[in-house]
Amino acid sequence: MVFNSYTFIVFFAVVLFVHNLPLKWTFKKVHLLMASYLFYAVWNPPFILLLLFSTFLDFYVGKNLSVEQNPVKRKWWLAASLVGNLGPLAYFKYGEFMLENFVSLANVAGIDFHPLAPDIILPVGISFYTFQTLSYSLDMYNKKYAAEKSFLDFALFVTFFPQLVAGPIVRPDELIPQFKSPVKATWLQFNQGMFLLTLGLFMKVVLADSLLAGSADAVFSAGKDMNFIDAWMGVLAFSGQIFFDFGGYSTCAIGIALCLGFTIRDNFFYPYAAIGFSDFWRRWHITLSTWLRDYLYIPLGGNRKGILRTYINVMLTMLIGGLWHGASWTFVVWGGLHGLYLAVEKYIQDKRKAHSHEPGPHPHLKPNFAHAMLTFFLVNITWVFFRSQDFTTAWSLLKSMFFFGNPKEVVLNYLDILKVSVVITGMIIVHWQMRHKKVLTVAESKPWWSVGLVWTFLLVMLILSQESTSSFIYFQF
Amino acid sequence: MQSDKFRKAAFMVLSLTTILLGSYELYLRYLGHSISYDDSESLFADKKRKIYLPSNEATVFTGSSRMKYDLNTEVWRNLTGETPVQLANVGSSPIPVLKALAADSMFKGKLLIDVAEGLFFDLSGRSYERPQKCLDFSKNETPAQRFSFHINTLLESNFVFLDKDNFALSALLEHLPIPPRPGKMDFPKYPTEFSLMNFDRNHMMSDRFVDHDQKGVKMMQDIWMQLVAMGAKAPPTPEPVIDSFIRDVKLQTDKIKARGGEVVFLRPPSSGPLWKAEQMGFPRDKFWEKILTVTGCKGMHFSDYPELSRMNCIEFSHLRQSDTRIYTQKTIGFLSNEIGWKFKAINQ
Repeated sequence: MVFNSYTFIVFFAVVLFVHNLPLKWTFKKVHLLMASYLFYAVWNPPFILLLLFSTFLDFYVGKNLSVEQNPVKRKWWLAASLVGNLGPLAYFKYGEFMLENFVSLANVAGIDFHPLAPDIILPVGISFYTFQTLSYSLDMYNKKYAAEKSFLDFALFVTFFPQLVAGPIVRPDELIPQFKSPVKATWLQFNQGMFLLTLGLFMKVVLADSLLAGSADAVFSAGKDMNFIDAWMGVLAFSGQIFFDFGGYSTCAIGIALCLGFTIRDNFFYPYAAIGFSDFWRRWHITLSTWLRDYLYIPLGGNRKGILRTYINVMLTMLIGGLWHGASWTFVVWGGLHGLYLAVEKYIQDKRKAHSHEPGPHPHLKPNFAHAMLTFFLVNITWVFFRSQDFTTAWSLLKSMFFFGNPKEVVLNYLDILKVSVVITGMIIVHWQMRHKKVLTVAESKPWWSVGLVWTFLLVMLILSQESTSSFIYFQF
Repeated sequence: MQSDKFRKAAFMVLSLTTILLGSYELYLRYLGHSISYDDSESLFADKKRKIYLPSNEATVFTGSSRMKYDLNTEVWRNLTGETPVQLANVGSSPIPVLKALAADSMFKGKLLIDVAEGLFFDLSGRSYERPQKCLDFSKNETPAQRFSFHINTLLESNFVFLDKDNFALSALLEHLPIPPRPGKMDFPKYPTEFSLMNFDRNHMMSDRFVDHDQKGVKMMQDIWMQLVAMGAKAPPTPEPVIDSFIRDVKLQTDKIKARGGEVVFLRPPSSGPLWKAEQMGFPRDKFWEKILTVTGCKGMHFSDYPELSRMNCIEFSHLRQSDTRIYTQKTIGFLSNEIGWKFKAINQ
């Protein structure tokens, strides 16, 4: 079920009611677990089995890794978890993609091979919960902490409904300890949670769906070269849509968890105020970038094996990060571009460090708005590949963005341009102003009536927009 | 301290939101607006589930907006004792729904298809998009979406401001006085009371629109004529292609008839220059008659009935509410007397 639906409002009201009854903590946890399974099952009930499989597998693997001392056997246990988790992911998410590429290769080799197109339905959120549960096995292998003894707590960690289908990707040591003793939200937590839920839904429903999605869809599905204004407006609209959609989901997830008394870490921190790409990835999809850092980049050697290996590791991490988003070469290029940006940034930073004799940051590198806008500009180039169905569309858009399109071909009307201009300008201003602040900290510093006014505005706009059922973009990943 | 602040703010949000939305609701009702439902995929899916009631033999309507405006489901229910299932879609071809029903071995009911030639014979695929989207949604609807639909229905039935087509944020923005962009062909926004919809998925023009909104009526006339002009610019579809298309329609209608179902084509009224343009663009003998001859289905063309021919579609394409009652009555009479369809109330 999606947060922006009436079903969820009823579901959440019932969950909140039961969670706040004077019942045993174990019963409340069972209730949260059952609610989480229901939350997932109302989309496509059979796929609940995959979730259960992942849960049982990693709980069992973790238990064995905690007692097994033989290094070879430990490797086998880890391999079991990797195959058991990444196998279904590979089949459901990459099955068609791999087959397509195999067929293309076979055809290139002169083999006339035309298999039936498989009709594989992607289980929603499989990439998220796979990474979440996999992190437990990897941590157990690295002897980071003791194995979880309670299956109930572990199962709840894997399926906790606020972040089950689109993150934030939570680590075991962040969430499981919160299940150990009774948790109930204080009034402050509850109200702050509701505020975040309203803000997240406003971002998704009003800004992403109601104001930006139409323009982005029109431009990316135009299928022709166009005026550079339209091309830029479409790409900017998508850059806003994807942030408000995914950032909105994360904000809702954090707010919902807070209403229940649980804390989930931030997933976004005003990414379009980033100065440079290291900074961008500290602000965009933080829980994925830190996951990739901890479980891929560092195990590959990180920056410990010389400069060349560092560049290779960065590029490999970003390419796999791109592929995580979707089974398409356009996502790989998106990841590759980010890898390239990070590599170039590192090269420039290393050069400047070498030439600078003064300690501290280089005088010419003081963060300013122009740097942030340069980063935003380059990020927008990557979004072209992320959103385009194929390379033909991406190439056509890139040409149009840089004045090689068809100036007479217009796709958007003035209202679309106005909506995109206002929302994107507002977004950039807010990101820049808030780049070091947290929204709840800012709200706490303001008088109650101004918080009330802003909150009312968000809620009224949310109700008036009447866009209640569209899925979040990241569900497909 | 912080707890107190957020509690006060939350109280303010609840109070202010209730006051603002309550005032907005009262204001819209004061202006004379009434409840209108969103023509959503969920509502289509809800109706589609009813094609199996009773005993897989429901009467189903499909086609374009003319079917949605002109056949009055309430009158139909009163006269026949049966609730028809409205599966037509505005600006759409009936073919996707016809194909879906033909492929559904469970469906053995009666099917009425409207022939608005510009859409029925549109082979570009554009007019298939909306019904196909609705059919896909029906197939893939999740339990959560269905539950949301029922809550939404409850709310839509009570609040005028939840009329998505007219009062949602995006609809309100579209009414801003922003000039058209040169080179960008935009479909104008329909006047609010041209397009009201009830829970049966029946569209209607309000009497206030028909009788008093001359500007709105003129705007709608211009829209239809603009579409006719656009259609006239397109190269004509070669006759063999049309013939092949009609043969495909026959394949579909045969499947339904083979199961004991029945299919009837309707040509609802149109008026003025639009009717003239339709006669020129789609001569009756080459299109309407050919459908009936090839498929072997019966049909009712409005121009064969003096009472219907005299009806004036105010904006050229759809009937006013009072005329829909007569048209529906006539259609039921035709089906009952000339074709022999049996209806619960009539044949009791």
